[in-house]
Amino acid sequence: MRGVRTRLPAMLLVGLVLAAVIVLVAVAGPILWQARADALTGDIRQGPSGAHWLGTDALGRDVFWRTVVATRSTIEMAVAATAIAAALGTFLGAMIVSAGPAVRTLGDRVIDLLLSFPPIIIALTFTAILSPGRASVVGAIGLAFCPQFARLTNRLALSVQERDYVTVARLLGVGRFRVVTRHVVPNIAPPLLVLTSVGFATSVVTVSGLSFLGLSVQPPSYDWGSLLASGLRNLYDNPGEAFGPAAAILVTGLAAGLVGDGLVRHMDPRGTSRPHRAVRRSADPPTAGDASRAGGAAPVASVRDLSIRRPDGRELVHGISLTVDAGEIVGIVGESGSGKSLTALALARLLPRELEWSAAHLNVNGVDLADPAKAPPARLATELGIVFQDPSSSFNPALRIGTQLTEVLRVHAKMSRRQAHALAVSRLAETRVSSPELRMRQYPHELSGGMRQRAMIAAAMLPEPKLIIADEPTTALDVTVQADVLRLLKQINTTHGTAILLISHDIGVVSSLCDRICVMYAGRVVEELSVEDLRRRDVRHPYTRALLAASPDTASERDGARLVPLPGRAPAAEDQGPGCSFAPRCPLAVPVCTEIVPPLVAEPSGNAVACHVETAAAEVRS
Amino acid sequence: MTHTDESVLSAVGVSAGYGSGPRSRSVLHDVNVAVRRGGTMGIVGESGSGKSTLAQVLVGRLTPIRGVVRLDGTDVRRLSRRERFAARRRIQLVPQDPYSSLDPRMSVERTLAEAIDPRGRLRAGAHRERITELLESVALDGSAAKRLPHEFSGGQRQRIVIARALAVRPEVIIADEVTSSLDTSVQAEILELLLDLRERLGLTYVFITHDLAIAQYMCTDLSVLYLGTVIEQGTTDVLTRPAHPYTELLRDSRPDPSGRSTPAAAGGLATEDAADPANPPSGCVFHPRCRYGPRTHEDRTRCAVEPPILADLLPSRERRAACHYPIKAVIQDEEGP
Repeated sequence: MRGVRTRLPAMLLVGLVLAAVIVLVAVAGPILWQARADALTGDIRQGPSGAHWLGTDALGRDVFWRTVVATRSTIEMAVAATAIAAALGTFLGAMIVSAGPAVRTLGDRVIDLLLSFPPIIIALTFTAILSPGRASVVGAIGLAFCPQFARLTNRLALSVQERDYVTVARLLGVGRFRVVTRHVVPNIAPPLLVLTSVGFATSVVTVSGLSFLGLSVQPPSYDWGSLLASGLRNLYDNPGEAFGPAAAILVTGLAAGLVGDGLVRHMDPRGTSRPHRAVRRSADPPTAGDASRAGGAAPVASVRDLSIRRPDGRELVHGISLTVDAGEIVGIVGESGSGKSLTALALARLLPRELEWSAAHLNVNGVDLADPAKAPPARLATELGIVFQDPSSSFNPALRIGTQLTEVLRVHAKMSRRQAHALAVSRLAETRVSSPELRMRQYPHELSGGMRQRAMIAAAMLPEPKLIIADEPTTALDVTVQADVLRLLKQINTTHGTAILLISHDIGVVSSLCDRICVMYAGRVVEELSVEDLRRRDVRHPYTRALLAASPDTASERDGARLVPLPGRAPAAEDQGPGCSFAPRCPLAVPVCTEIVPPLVAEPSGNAVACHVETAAAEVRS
Repeated sequence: MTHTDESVLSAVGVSAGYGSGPRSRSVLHDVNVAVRRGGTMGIVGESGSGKSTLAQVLVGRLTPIRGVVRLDGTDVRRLSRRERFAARRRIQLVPQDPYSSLDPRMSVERTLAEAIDPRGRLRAGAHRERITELLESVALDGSAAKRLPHEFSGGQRQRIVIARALAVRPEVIIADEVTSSLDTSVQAEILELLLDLRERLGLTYVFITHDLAIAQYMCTDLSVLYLGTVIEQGTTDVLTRPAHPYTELLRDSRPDPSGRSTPAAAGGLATEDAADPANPPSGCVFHPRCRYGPRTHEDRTRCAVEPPILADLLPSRERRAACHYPIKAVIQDEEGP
């Protein structure tokens, strides 16, 4: 169907159709077919036949029509029970949220207690206390399911209330009631809808279950549950008699589930306009690698023509090459989405499973890792150490620091417990973790952020790797702690000769620590230069220049100069054109820039730049 | 408080915290901050220094335990209900995270309409012109109005948040780490936008940041917070020529792109992380980390016992520092022959 703008998800459509049919049957059933369902015939306990599609019961009544007519009774009861549960539960949950701390704690405990009983037990108890009958069953099931609604409302409302947009709305003078109706309710509605649909399905089952036990509708009225009960007694004479109500219960539950799930998907603001798949693929993979440095010490890590792709084939990193020499500190600087972290993860063979990658050459300290199909050898764990951005999630919170530090040594270096402990303590002391012996016995949460990051560096240093990959190691830290961690990395580099690959978005951090810097933009290295040139602001690529002009760190040194924002934004992986990815934002762009990807061209100084305009200018100069 | 007369917003002797009873947590201790009309007061400090708590107090979200918040010299507690509603709208907050500060289910248009008309008294279409104007003022296209927040990048979202704050024609905007989740180039855009708006609309900012370079770039005045107390205050030369050892430590901790070695590295005392805010040290709260304090100068035992008060150093230049032994260079330079 073309021309339909807001497409309903298929599952919602199926669910809605099913639900509509059920509602129609529930409404029309008793009006149209009551007579057929109640008509007594002589054919008792017949199997399915042309005249009676599901056969007949003990009194010769048609099972199919009885199931159809019973729909209203069951659906009515289930709807009423779900409505009671949802209304009462949501109300209670909301009350608990808005109450004071004492009531909130008490309310939470009571809900916990109620939730620990299966709802059917609660419903049974209530029904037994009240006398059996339709009304008491509805009330009992409503009460039994309301704690679930209360709990969910409570949790959701609490989390939404802490959102900044609710805070800001209050500051703007939006009244309490309006905040609830405009911000809180719409944002907690989808999960509540799912619960309602699940609750309805469960109510149908519970209503039928209680009726099956004879606690609900009393003869001569009937519903699916009582039909099922009598059908079960005649199961051997006419299986159809049990099949009818059972199938009805199943289909109703299915419809409720489909509608609930479908609605949620339909209501998600992100779901309505997914980025459409682009058709075009970037044509020619660029041939970088011209810039791989000749001579010097043997590299501890080198990669050539590394490409990383998403499962849909979109390329995130486009054939980049990189070497880290022994004892060298190399920085990769770039903004989010530039592929800097992916490159680092690929070196350590730690890319997320769903990403595909390939490289002409990938080698870390003599270990060949270029084959994506081959698992990296265990030895890799001792060839390189990794320090991640978030020190709070890189340790296992349930294990003591000591256990985690000594693990590597005992597994890979086959050290004894005591040896490993001694080495770990000395490493902690070396990374300036205060009272190292005490820290070994502590859990990660007992350390401050800075201490944890130092401990993480100690952990990375334990197997004496030749290379440490540090991915934004100081981004989560305070500036004073950052300064210390950077000094620490420098010190490790000088005393142990460990090479470091530092990934950062902060050009200031990179230029204060690194010897050589790669600037990445949209999955490519656009410039490679020595730190001296960067400090002198002697940069070639227009992007590097723009980055310097936009960062207040360096701008503040030029008296009174304003920051120069970079126009536009970095292209997403799906809308990259065939040429230089920076061309649309580049002040120097010429027509060729949008057509051909500029190769990374090495200069005599050892620096390299990927820019048509710059390369042409350099040729003119020489 | 010499500034009180011309200051549009000020916190006077404010102590504040969270919770009550035995589990309460005190965060700010006797903080004095006066925000000059048309100026930008930078609040800098490390995490746990109480920067965001101070923002909450200034914006009226958190009632101080002691002390008062003054708006145009009037204690906000003395205002009537209606006056307080109006006062609240004069001070707007731009929170840090542009992802959690926009309701994901409300279009930009509805978000702005709510800010213009929080009680929903006018019909929905009445604000169209104003909305277009607001979007233009933050350099967003009018077509943005119909879209939902998730369709925008982080920088664009932050523009929308700023537009929403401008919708009520505020006098003071409290910007709480507004660029810390943005990329460098986008950060520059937002900072320039804020500077531009300050000029065009005559706004006053309270600018909370952990990034000293940004503070120096954006602000006219600075207050340096450490463990909930203001330890130094003055114009932005606080950062270029600090009088308090902590401010000096902050300055020297900045990654130094020129590659010169940093003086603080020599002392090595910076390795002590900030103390636990719940359990601050005795005397001067900074003394365990101070390179001029009792750790290096044995005669300076006073630091560990007697809390220094925030005192004027240079009456002419509006510089205050809470230190028994402020760094002399600042004073001598000013008073030199």
